[in-house]
Order: sequence, then structure tokens, then C-alpha cells
Amino acid sequence: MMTYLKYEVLRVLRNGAFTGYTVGFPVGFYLLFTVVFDQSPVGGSAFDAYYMVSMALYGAIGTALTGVGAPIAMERSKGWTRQLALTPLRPGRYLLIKIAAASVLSLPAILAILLCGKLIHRVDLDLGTWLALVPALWVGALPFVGLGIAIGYTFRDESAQGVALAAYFLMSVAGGLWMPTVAFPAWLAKVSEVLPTYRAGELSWRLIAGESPFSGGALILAAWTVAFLGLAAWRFRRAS
Amino acid sequence: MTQAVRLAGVAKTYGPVRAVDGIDLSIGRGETVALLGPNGAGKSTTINMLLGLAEPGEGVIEVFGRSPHEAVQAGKVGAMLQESGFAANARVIEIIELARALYKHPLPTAEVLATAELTEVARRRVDKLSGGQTQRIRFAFALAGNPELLLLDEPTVAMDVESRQSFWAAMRRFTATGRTVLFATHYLAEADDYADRVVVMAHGKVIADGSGSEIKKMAGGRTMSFRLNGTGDGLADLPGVTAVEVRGDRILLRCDDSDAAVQALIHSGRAYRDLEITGAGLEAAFLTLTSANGKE
Repeated sequence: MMTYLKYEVLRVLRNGAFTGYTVGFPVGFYLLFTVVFDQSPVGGSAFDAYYMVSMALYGAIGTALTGVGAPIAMERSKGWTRQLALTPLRPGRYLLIKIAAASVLSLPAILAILLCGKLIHRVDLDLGTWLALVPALWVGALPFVGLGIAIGYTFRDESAQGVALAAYFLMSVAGGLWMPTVAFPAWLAKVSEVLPTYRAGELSWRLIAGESPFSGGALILAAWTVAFLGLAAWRFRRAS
Repeated sequence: MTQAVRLAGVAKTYGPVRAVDGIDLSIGRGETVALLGPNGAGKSTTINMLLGLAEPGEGVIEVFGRSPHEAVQAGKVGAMLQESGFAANARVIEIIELARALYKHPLPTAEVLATAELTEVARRRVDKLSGGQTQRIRFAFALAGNPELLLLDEPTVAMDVESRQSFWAAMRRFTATGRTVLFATHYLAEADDYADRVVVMAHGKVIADGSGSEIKKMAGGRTMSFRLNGTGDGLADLPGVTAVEVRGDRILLRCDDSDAAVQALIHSGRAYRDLEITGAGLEAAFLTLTSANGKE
């Protein structure tokens, strides 16, 4: 298990595009909207802190979709999944490793953004909250690992990457990760509320506001998680 | 002791194509067997079924007395397939370590690298290597788990002559340890040179099964040819001759005993010139066998 996880992590880290999408973009956005533009507080939190967790989640979701999920299409076309099918590796293990790899690989983005918040904006949270943010962001990104795997097993090479990027940007914008939903027209705010991106963000936004991460919205996130992981398992079985 | 491989009445149909059309085949432990046939003969389908990647439509397949899938899960089988490959951005050594980690009793890393002649490129990225080197990584991946049975589908297909020779040398070192090997090939010389036993497939059926020399004998052994002044009547009755063919001004005698045929030709007192005797080679044997089968 550990050997495979290490292999996956090293392999993805060597890919320059991966670092760009998952670390560069969120850090860039964060600096753009907190340093260049000045914003008012959102939901009781300073915007610097609020947008810090939004972008950390944005980076983690990018890892899941474009770093781990969609490249499965490439693994399939290169025959790597075929190669693994000739070994005693069980399919469930393979999927677990993909999920674990997504968590490990999202750390650079998460830590980079949290560091920016801490060092540049002196975001002030107690130690427990800082520590709780990482698992909260992981849990929030989990449904997107499922969606990414489903995309990787459904589409081919570049089209998988395209579909993953489209899902990534659309859901991030509509879910209030790029800008808070308070700035949305009413109808779009309504749409946001049922999206996994918004509900995933909610876990961390509640944390930094000093609340329990779990609210009624967590049920919606749980439903998306089950649905996307189920979709991944179904696409995986179809392909193998 | 159970056989390494046993197929009984195995058939597999893809749409209207009967890719494998009723095969019975047993392979004992320690045998090196070539599965020889042209493209579309059903070799790859047979290998895929032995790996549990395809289910037979009819018949029974056992690998070490269990189902192919169970044998793969138990780590008893290593395989090298044409369509298998490696994801980008990984180093050779990482791939090998990963392969080893998937099996309970792997071979030592250094031994795998040495056997597949990859020691010098161990730190290189897999996507930066040549076709022949990639093929050797497939071989190393198949070896790493220390399997009892190796299944190889056209293993030398992307290799130049030199890598081909070193590949087979590596294979010899592996089979010397008592492992069972089944390889598919349409390189006739390979089957003849490297297998203890050659199973010839055509149109989804096994049409011949024996040692390389037996296969040649079955297909008519040697061909004697010469120019002749006078009539060719009676040549077919010479001892050792199985068939007579006239090609331009040359007469071709197919022989199952060319020594006897030469003796008889000399003693017959016929005025022949430019005598040549050629071994059929597996290539000719193979053509004869497959075309004979096609006429049925």
C-alpha cells in the first residue's frame, strides 16, 4: 500500500502542470483578491480568513479532479490499468490509493494558502482550528476524488482533462469559492446551496467562524460524496 | 502434481468471430511452450483467458488447478502483454519496487533489474526509454513477483535483433529455475529456438503440437530440388519422397526422408543437375500446416 502511495505521489509531483493548477492558481487568486482588492467581512469572518479557506479548498478540489482523477484516462490509454490488472492488486485497494494520494497531494496547495493567510494577512485562529482545517478540507474534497475517478474512467485522455477542468471551474464559481455567495444574485445563491463545492466550503467557513463544522448542510455534502464515490465505483467496474 | 495450465474444450466468440474454437491443451510444470500462429489465430485471446481478463464462452480453464483469476490473485502468474504499459513520470526502479510490493514473495530488486538488463537505466523515466527497453520493463514487471507461470504475448515484438537475443538469454536464465513459460509468437525461429514444445494455432484451433523438429517433420521435412534431362515420371515412387512438384525447369521433391531419396535418385541413373536440399524450417512447416488446415 505505502509503496504504491509513494509511487503515485512522486509521479504526480513531477508533473509541472499539476503544480500550476493546484498550487499556483489558488495562491494567485488569493493574493489578487486579498492584496490587490479590498473586501468586507463575510459571515462574521474577515475576508482574508474566509477567502483563505475558499482557495485552499479550491486547490484541494483541483488536485482531486485534475491531478488524480482525470489522469486515470491517460493511465488507461497507456495500458497501466491493464498492467495492474495482471497483478494481485485488488480493485478496492486501487481506489483507496487514489483517494489517499489525492489527500496527500492536496497538502502543498492547502499549506501554501494557509501560510499566505498566516504570514501575509496575519489571519488569527487558535491552534485547534488551524489543525482542524486540514481534515475539513480533505473531507470537503472527497466527493471530487470520486467525480475525478468517474471522469477518468469515462472519458479519454485530453477530453477527460477538459471535462474535469470544466466541472472544476463551473462548480467552484457557482459554489462560491471564487467569490462569496453573498455577492450572488438570489437565484444563483439558491443554486449554490445544493452544490457540493458550497457545502464543502461550509465545513471550513464554519470552522473559522468558531462554529462546529457540521450543520444541516453537511448532509447535502454527504449525499454528494456517496453519489460521486458510487459513480466512480460504477464507472470503474464498467471499464474493468 | 497438477498441471500448470489446462484448457478443455475452450471456445470464445466475439460477435460473429469465433476467436478460439475449441482448444484442449495441457502444459506441465517447467515446460517452455511456444504458441505459434499468424495474427488472428487466437493466441492473444487464449492468453487473455489464461489471465482471467476474458471469460471463455465454453469449456474449462485451470491454472495450477484453480481459476485463472484466483491464480493471478495468488501471485502465481506473471504476464507481459502488448497493450500493457506505464504511466508517465515514473522511474524504472519505482515501477519495479511497486510491482514487488504487490506480491508476497518477490524477487530481489537487483536480481529483477539484472535479469531484465535494466540496471543501467534504473533511475531513468519510463516514458524516456526506447521500445525495446519498455518491453524489458514489462518483462521485469512480470518477473518481479517471482511467478511460477509466465505468460508472454509477442514478447520481442518491438525489439531489434540484439535486444531480442539478450531478451531470450534472460528468459533462459529464468526458465532454468524450473518456471513454466508460455509465449505467443509469430516469429517462427523463436518458437523453434527457445521452446521445448511448439503449439501451432490457426483459425482458433490447435493444429499441431510437438517439438520444433516434430512440427517440421509433420509438414514434410525437407525439399530436394534439381534440373532434370528427361521425364520426371516415377519420381513420386522413390523412397522418402512424399510429393512431386514441377516449378519451371526445376523439379521439387518433398521428402520425409531426404537421405533415402538422394540415394534412390543417384541409383536410378537419371541425369540430374544443380541438386539442392533445403530444410523446411519452421516457417515452411508452419505455412504447410496452416494452409492444409484452411483447405478442410
